[in-house]
Amino acid sequence: MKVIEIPPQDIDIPQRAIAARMGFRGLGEVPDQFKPIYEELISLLLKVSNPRVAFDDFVPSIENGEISIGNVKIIGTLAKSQLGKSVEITAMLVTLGDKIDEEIAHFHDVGDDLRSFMLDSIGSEFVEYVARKFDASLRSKKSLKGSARIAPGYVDLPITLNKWFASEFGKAISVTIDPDSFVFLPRKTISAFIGWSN
Amino acid sequence: MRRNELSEILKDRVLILDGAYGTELMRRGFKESPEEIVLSHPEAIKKLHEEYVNAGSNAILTSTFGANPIKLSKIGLESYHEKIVRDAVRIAKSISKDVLIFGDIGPTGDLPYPLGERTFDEYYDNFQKTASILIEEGVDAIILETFTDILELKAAYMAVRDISKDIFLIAHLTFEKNGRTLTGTDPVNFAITFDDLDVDAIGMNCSLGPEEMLPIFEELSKYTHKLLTVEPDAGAPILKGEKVEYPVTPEEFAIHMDSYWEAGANIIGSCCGSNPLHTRKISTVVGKRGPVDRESKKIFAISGPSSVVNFDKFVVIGERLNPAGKKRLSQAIKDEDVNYLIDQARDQVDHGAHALDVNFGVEQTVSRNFMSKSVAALSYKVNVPLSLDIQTYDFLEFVMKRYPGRPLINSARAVEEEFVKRASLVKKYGGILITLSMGERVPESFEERKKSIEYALEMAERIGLTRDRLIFDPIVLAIGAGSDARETLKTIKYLDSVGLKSVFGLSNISFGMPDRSYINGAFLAMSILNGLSSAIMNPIDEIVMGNMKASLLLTKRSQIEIEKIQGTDELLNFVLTGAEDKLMKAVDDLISVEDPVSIIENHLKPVMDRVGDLYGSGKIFLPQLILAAQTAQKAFEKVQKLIPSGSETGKFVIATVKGDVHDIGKNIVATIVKSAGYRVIDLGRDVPSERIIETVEKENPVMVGLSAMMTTTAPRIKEVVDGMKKKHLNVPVIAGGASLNETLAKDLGADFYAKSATDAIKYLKMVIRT
Repeated sequence: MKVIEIPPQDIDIPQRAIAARMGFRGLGEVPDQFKPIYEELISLLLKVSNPRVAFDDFVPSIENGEISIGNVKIIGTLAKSQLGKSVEITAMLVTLGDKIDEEIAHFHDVGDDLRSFMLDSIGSEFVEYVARKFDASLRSKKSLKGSARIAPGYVDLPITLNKWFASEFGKAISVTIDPDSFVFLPRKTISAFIGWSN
Repeated sequence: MRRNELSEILKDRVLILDGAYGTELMRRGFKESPEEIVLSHPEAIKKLHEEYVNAGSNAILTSTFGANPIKLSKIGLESYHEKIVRDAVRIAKSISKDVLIFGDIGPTGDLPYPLGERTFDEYYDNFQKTASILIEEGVDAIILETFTDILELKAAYMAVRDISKDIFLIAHLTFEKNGRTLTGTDPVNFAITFDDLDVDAIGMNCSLGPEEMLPIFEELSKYTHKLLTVEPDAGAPILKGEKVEYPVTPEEFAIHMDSYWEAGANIIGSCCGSNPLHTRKISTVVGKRGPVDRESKKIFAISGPSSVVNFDKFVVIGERLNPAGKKRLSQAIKDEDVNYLIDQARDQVDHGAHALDVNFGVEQTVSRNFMSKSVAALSYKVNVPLSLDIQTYDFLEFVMKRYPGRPLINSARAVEEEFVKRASLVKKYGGILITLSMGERVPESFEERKKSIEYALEMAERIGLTRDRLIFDPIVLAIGAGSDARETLKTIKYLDSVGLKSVFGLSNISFGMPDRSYINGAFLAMSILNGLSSAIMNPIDEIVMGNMKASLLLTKRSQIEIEKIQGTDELLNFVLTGAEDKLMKAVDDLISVEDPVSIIENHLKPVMDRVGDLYGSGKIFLPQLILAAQTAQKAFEKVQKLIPSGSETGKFVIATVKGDVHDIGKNIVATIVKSAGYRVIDLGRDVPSERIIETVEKENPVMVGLSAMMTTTAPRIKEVVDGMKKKHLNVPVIAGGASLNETLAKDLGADFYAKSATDAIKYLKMVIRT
């Protein structure tokens, strides 16, 4: 397993994406009325987030269409379509750290749910872009053909796989999981697989 | 490479297309156009091709963007047309690497009649000359790029496809920042119009940088079922002294490539201002990926160059462009007076027509050129789609080929030869065919009509025309001639029940009768009740239009429009803009003259009701709703302190269930409920079911709100509901969160499902009233 830190300043994220996450759909940007708060929160995010990625490459065993890495079975049609031809699978756990959770909670505690909501939206989009950046760097280094990046909880890829991600990578980047709901803590944490084929 | 071979490759991987030639050659010191450079410095073109291939391009474009006779004539190179096109392909083929060669065809730069002077046929001949050489020279595909008008693009498409059915063909429009082309076409219109045609891929290029182009591309991706291609510019050009610079660096450009890939792009390149460094970055990010699966929406719609009419809502098709019984219109057609037709058309649109039926009367007396000219003028100047009511097959084909969008074709009977011929035209040129539910003879009963419908569907399937390309006419016959209108109504109901759209000519029903408007109006109302999709009717008849509006309202097929945001309501403006100080000052002023209960009931609550309505109708966004709620909440708190205890509106207990740490949604609902004057007991997140039940027992709230974001935590809602039942706590529960829907919420025992942030208020009011 490897762990890398990505300086938050290195993450380029279009305002359009954050605006859409906040619910400003179809506008393409955060409206002027909310821009000062948006800019304040982006500065805060850059200060408090600590993007880290823990990842490893696995050689899958694929028998009768069933994909396994180690003793974990990766089931479902999404997995079959994206990972079914893989000769190698990268598993990754990406987190922004726990400080951003604290800031989101703090805003709520002081009655500022607007900032709490906006920072939450920015964080959700930011962690996604950290994963994208890491994904792109992997693709530039690998000579194999990469699948789409697929995440537990989407389509029919079981969210229970998050338990495996937490046990495999969690300790290295201080991520834990609720054993019943399979939600990661810190909350701005995501997991994913990429399959590599010839 | 054959068309199907390239299609197969694209099932497996994303292809990288090269970048700019014109701007890059200019940056390298050339002042001429790429077509001139093909003749004067072919080595420069070859070098740039090689650099793009070395950077990761799987396909390169021939330097023939402007190599069509019309465009070349503007720089005096018309006589070199053939040489330029042949040489350009040969230069591209001369590079040593294995790469696909796409023959590039750009627009003429001239707008079509009536916006300019060019005719479809001039475009067609012009593009065919270039396309035939490109195909002779053996390009792997043809790309029609940077077109700003849908008719010119259609002419180029027809020109290429008429030469070869075996060439892979890509069609691009260029969109402005407002999401439309220069002549007004939007991505939805582009998708529905070109999905009907035999192109392999559609897409967009030029004019916008990757960030600005993305939402437009995503919109196209939502609606097209073709493969997708895209080539954004490296941003908008900036003039620095005498030099033009493009601001988006390769690194910045590459950031967006993930999003294009996610939106379904199959071929990705770059346009003006880009260079091989951009290509290298694009290739690094997406060059080894397979395509994503996408599910596009199907919509039943017709279009003109700048208008799309979706049949999800009732469609009024104006009937008055028909010379039968209209002397002045007959004369205008005879005189080829297009302006009179336009005036008549505008009048109908001003009175509520969404589309217009165009009938030229006795067609033998009308030239097909006038028909086509009128259709173009109406399409571009009146801005609604047309229903082409043309009976002569050759004339119909002539006009359909030249129609700038997706028309209705009026009509074909379910008679083999007639139906197959017209349906084949629809298949070739695009559009939706009005199919009469009748065979050789006029039907009397519903059963006869049904047989014709089934026969038409069978014929359509046989020739490969899908059922969503047909709309059925249930046949309206004159009651004055003794026909039974109820048979038509039965047919409409049947069509609706099997998911087929319907349209009829309304005025036939009252032919030869007195008080025609009343008969037409009543019959239209009955037809709408039975599920009619659209009618060819007179929009200027107020009685008929009034009946239609009332029927649509009563059958819940239209809504009363919610009033626009009023700038005059001071309190509303304060909460929407978060002007807390001004709001508190206004509240202080009210406190000095009104009692606190009145302030809440007559001022603050109505304001928040308006805010809720504005959010519900999509006029404000979620952050504005939160800001308004947060601001109003402080005013409520201030006024509530002045009310004697015991007279509160009611308590609302809210919690995110055990195991779930996502509390943003719950927090927003709590804030909004507080801002409506309720006392909110917020238990927080990850709350054990026992604690929620204990609180309900102790506080006796009006309602309990439970939030669950995850499918894994949603069952906790049932745990709480069951626990409350055991303790006989008869308090309604509202549940919400990303994992839920109405059915699941009810299955888990909740009384209400909160789809949006304001639903809790709606149900709280309902519970309190009852």
